[in-house]
Amino acid sequence: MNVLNLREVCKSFGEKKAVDNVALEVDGNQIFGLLGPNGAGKTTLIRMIMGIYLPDSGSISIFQKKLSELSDGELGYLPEERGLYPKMKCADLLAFFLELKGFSFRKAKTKAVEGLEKVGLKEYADKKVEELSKGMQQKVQLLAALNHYPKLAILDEPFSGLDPVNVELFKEIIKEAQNKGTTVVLSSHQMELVEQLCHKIALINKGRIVLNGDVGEIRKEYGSKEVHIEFGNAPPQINYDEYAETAKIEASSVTLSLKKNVSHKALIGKLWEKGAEIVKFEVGTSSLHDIFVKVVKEGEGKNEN
Amino acid sequence: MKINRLLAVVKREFKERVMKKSFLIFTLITPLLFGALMVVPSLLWMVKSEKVNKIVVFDKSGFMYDGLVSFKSEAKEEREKKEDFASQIEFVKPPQNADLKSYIRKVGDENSEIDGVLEIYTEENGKVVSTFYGRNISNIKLVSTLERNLNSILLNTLLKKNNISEEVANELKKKVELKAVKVEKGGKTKESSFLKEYLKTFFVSMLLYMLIIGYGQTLMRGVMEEKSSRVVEMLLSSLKPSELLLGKVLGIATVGLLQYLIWVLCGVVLFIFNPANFTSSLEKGFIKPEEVALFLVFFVLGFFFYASVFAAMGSVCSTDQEVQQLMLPIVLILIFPVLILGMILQNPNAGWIVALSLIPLFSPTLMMTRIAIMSVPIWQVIASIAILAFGVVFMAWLGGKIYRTGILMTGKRPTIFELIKWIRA
Repeated sequence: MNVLNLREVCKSFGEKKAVDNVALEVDGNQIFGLLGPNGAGKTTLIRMIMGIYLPDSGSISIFQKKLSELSDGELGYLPEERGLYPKMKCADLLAFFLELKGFSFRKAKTKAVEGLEKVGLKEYADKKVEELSKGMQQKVQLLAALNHYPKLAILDEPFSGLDPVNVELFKEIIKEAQNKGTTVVLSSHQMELVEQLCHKIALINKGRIVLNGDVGEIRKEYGSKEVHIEFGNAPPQINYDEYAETAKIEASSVTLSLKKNVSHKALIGKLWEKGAEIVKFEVGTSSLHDIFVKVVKEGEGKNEN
Repeated sequence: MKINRLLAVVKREFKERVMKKSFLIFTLITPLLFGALMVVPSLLWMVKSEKVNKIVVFDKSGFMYDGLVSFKSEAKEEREKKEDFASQIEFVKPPQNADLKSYIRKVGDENSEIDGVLEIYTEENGKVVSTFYGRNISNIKLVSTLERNLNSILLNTLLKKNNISEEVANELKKKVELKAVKVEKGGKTKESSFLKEYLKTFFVSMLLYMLIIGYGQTLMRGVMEEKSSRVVEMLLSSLKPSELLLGKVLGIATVGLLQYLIWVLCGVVLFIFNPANFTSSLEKGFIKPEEVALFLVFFVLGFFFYASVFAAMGSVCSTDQEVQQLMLPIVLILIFPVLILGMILQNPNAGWIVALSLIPLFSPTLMMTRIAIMSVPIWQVIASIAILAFGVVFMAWLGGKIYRTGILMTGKRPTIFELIKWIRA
């Protein structure tokens, strides 16, 4: 099911185009990553999705509806700039946010306490927010976004400023929400986390989407084509140029940079046919981080030309 | 506009404010403070100072000194009435050929035993003029005692000098007593005095000023807090800016109403049980029910009017310093009736005062001040309220435009041109 649909969305602040003609589709029940360097326009885009900014042009629909037509509690939001009332008690604050989402006061209060219990903050329910450590406040903030299991949760930089233990906890909470049916859109510039969590990503740079798709496919398309094979015997004599753009043949190993349409299976089949004893077959991996840097740099090169 | 979300904001604002200690303190202190304001001056008057003021009298008229001394001894007999005069002032005659200037110089010396010099002389046309040189002429009691009695002394002395019989003298000394009676619509009359009217009016305009400024600032701090703690983004993901602002204004107004209700109830209880003859000093009709009701109307409308201003200010300012600069004109406009209270009391129907009391910026406090003084024509009251109500709507529109852009802005305060752009957007 199509959860989020952006069409030709533009937003400028004065002369600066923060979001430039962005089109994006997010399908249901997945974790979607929005990647991009600082100042790329992620937060502006997210604020428009949440209805905090109005787009200059283009349309945004959520569950095929306009934002104003959504019923209460269908959305959850974690803003990039964390914001809680410092003087309010944790449970009261969470209950207040739930009331804004359309829950009755009593239900909101119960849910708030349950949520705090889930993240190990039960005994802080009656403490003021300002008495909590930064990490605890982050947990409360995440609860405010996910505690009511919204159909769509937008998390802007959910992992920034977290210690490794809390990163794991946050990942668990986000995955749990997804398992319960929440579609999660999160923005981050921490690629490893996005790689571990997200099914699909969009890469945004200078207000434009430069890459968009399934994480595996992106890796296949933009990832390294480098293969390093070690043999128990001498490398078989085949026409490597048929498979690779460059080939480096040594005494008991070859290093190839494969052509685009060549699959690993075809290469290994051919080698076996020629009686090769393959001891090691290593595919050079490239992380999203590398792809990210590569695409952004390529894009900048293009712009300069 | 979703009512349940709006109510959640109203409830939060109300709860957060009422639970604060400052609410309780202000609610209790204000009546006490104003009570004290009414009682303390007369208490101060009653406090007796032990000190005897030694005053050197340079009497060039030739007859006033004797009058002073004899008046003082007479006064001593009539202890009750003129006790102050008798016991606190000692008149001394300077030695022959003493120099007035050197005595005046002595007065200025802290350790001098002379507290003042009284110079009395007769002008060519027979007018008696006296000047008092004192170290502390703001000692109201001393100066007013002198002033009050010098005239009687002059009269006494002149009567004696001209051999007028005591009978005639007593007749001459009789004074006309003027009673001021306030006439209201329908011919209802009540006795009053300038001081009572003044204090009541001062109380009313001051309280209204404090309530509007106080709750306006509460709203402004709330807006600033939401902006600086970034909660506002979280809120705006569930609410429209207009809903958030309306919720805050209504929540805070409810707190103000509760406070007012407590005061009115306290007043009613005091009148019913009347402890320590509380009401004897405030005779019936001093504060009328319609005044209590109109006060409420002008407080609520005035607060709504200025709420938009304060909300817009809070949304564009990030430091207290910036706020202070913008606050000054608002404070001056709202306190204006208190500043010109003397003029209003003299003529509450002056054209310019009537006009200002119809203009929304001034009308909340100014019209209420006039109502406290006199029976304002009903059309003026209605016109003032109606215009103010329109003003509330207009300001909500204007302030709302600035507010919705301002709360998401960070960094520098916008210029006036940017503000105009926001309003036009």
